[in-house]
Amino acid sequence: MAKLNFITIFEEMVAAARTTLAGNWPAVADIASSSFKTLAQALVDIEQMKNDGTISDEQAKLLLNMHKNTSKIVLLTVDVIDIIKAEAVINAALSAIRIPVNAALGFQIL
Amino acid sequence: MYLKAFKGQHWLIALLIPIYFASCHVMLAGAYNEKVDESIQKVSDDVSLLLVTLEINLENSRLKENSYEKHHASYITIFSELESLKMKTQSLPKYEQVTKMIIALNQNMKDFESLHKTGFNKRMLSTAKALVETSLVNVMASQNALKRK
Repeated sequence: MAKLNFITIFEEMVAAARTTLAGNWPAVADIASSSFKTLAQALVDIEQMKNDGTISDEQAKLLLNMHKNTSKIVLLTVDVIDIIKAEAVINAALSAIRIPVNAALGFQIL
Repeated sequence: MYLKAFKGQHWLIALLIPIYFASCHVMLAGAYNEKVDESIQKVSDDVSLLLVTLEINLENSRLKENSYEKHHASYITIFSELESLKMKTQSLPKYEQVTKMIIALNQNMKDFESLHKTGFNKRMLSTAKALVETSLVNVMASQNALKRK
């Protein structure tokens, strides 16, 4: 009997990512949501194939390992996009203060 | 001039000097690298060719054409490309995240290869294919992000 539910897994993944990323979630929403759908469906499929006996223990283990590594890659991608976003915020702040700072100091420091 | 500026805005200079010496433009992640991007695309192309070939053979019940031995050379090509790509990313500054992705992708292909040796059925191949493709899509998405457009 199947225990894993696609909707439940998917929504939990999205909720966790949305909470962690907060304001930066929109920047990664598309790629993350699409990836989470695949990951959620893969878990359901692996469980079902194992229950049906259409895959062996060894094959289930390999698929779960692939699932783990794919999850890792998705999280690393979210991380990179998050870092780029933070970088843009810092550089925008530096740009914003460049003119008034240079004017205040009387020479170009930035 | 410097002393006059310092007296009035000493707090501002204390804040700004570290930033100035660090950089006037901050880069928290590595710069986009066209060679790395091209290499990733090459891996993606070769993996896609393997996946589609296996899928079509299954659909047409050509199971013998899907034997691991018939595709051994494809795996050698893919693994050598991934190894070369890993060395490229390891040599670039602030590319640690991308290197970790390549290592994880390589492991995914190793597991896919192991699955292949056990023999694919349709659903197993479909699930494995979806995971490999998601891995590749995310690696390419991270490259697009590094373009900073």
